[in-house]
Amino acid sequence: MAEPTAPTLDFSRSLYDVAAVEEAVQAYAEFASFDVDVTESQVTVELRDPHPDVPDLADHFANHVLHASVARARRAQGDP
Amino acid sequence: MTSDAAQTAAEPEAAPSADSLEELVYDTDGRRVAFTLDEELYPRDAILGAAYLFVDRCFLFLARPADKQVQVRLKLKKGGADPDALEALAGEFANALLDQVLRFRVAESTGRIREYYMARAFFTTATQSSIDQLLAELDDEELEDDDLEIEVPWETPGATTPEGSSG
Repeated sequence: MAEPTAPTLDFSRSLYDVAAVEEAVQAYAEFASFDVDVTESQVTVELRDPHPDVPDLADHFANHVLHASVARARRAQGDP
Repeated sequence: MTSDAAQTAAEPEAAPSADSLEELVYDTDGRRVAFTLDEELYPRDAILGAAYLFVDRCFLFLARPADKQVQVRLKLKKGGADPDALEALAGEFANALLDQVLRFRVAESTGRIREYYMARAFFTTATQSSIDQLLAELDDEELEDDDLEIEVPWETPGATTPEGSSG
């Protein structure tokens, strides 16, 4: 039986904050291993060994990155 | 999202129009919906603002398939394939997006005047001078003769001040 491929997420840096990705990686560190590759235009995150009891882990992770990105942008703009 | 790409490829050169949201493209499993927005019509901050509102309701992923374009992918958090729920979700997202665009435009058009009012409120001396004026009036009143002739001991000539009496 073939090994399931590790989910890979490509976050565009024009939409997502690199620091938010790093924040999410730390937050989800106990549920999977993450390989992060930052280029000029995007941040590629590969999830390895996802926790079997957490369905949709990649989706949860992406939501966390989105939330953190918007929150950081708003804080930077002076919103509380 | 291969099916998305195949279906959206039918109109690759379509000019941005106000009815872009009608081009909602469903993927095969019925649990996700994806559509591409033009940043000329929907500013990035408005898209992010709308997405932020839906983080607790669905899974979202934003991608940039081309310059000035943002692809929004919504995925139901619970349940299996439910086209009706997906359509409702996409519609609500579109409404939230329009709301965010309006807020963005209003904030943009009134930004200068808000900054002006804030600057005026913080840096003008009008408020301070009115307080000074009130204090000056109070001082003037205290200097006038007291109609009730209630003397304050330390204001009586020759009397010791409280500080002097205590020390």
